[in-house]
Amino acid sequence: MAPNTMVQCKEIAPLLGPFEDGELQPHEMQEVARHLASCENCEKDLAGYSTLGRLLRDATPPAPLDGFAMAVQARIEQLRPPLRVRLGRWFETQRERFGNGAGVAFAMAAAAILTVVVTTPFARNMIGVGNRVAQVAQRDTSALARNVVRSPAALASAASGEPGTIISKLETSNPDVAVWSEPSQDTTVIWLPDSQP
Amino acid sequence: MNKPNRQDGDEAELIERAKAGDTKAFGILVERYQRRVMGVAMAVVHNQEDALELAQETFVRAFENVARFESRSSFSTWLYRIAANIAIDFRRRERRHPTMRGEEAENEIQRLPSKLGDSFKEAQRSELAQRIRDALGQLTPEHRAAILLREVEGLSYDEISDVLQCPRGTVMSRLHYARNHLREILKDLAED
Repeated sequence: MAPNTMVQCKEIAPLLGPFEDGELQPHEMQEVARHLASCENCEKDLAGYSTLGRLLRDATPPAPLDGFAMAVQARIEQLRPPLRVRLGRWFETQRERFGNGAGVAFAMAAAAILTVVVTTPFARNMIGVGNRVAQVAQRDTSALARNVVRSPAALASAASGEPGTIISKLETSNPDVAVWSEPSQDTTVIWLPDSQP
Repeated sequence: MNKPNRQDGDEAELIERAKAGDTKAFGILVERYQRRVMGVAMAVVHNQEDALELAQETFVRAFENVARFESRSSFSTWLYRIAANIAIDFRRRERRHPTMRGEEAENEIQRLPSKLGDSFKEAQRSELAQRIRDALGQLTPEHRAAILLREVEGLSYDEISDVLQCPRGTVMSRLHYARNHLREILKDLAED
């Protein structure tokens, strides 16, 4: 064998299998075919691959599959269908029982229930927050009235009874000094009792 | 070389019905693909009894997940991939907890009066088949799976790459190695 043919054989050898399988690009197929036309060894190798494939197929008879599909069917019949499928079937049953109008009614009822379930916590929270503000303001107003009864501002705020707008928080425990904030005016007020004569 | 990722109309309809929970439609798909799914499992585990169980498990799992099948690949490739994954997992477990194999297992199968046992015995009677089985047994599971998926199941390189989840180049090199190794072992047969 000529040396250049040997070099070519080394390059062609990995392509023989894909050539046999028809998995090469067209230009590679042509290249291998050209080489095979002039190289007996590679031609023999290719025939060997072909024989090997036949031997493997003959030695691996198809498995007996009698009853296989039925066994699979029995197993999947026992599976619980997914929620999506169960819901679909339920709606289908209701539609068959009550007609198409019932389906729309069920869908609207479901949407209404969903809306209530989703919005109720927010609504409750908002109502709760308002009540809490009113309670704090009321309590603080009373405390201020008890502790600093002579303060005209405090008296005015206590009398006004506008929860949450005047007094939000007392920040001192000294009964002679009152400190509060007025959120509406963005102001903090410090009230000191008149000095004793 | 990619195959078109489309199902024919009949198959697409069967898949849609299976997605809606129609077990009968899925049963038709089982009939259609059972042999090849069995072949994929067999190529990986190289044991008929195990392969039958794994093929059954493949279809059950496919039915459970058919709603997630999005037609990006063909249904058959999707099935083969499930089969290969299940078989590869099984093989890993078996490696950790080896069960009865070899002569002991063959004797046990011969005692079974089942069709499986009969066909196994039939294959055993053939010296040629036995030699080829032995030769396949000398390959690594990866090389064996590649050569059986190609030669026996007739999968394309792209399909093998997809099923065994390795690059196409790896498929080519595994096939090249497996063919040369088998030819070396079966020299007197393969060069007839």
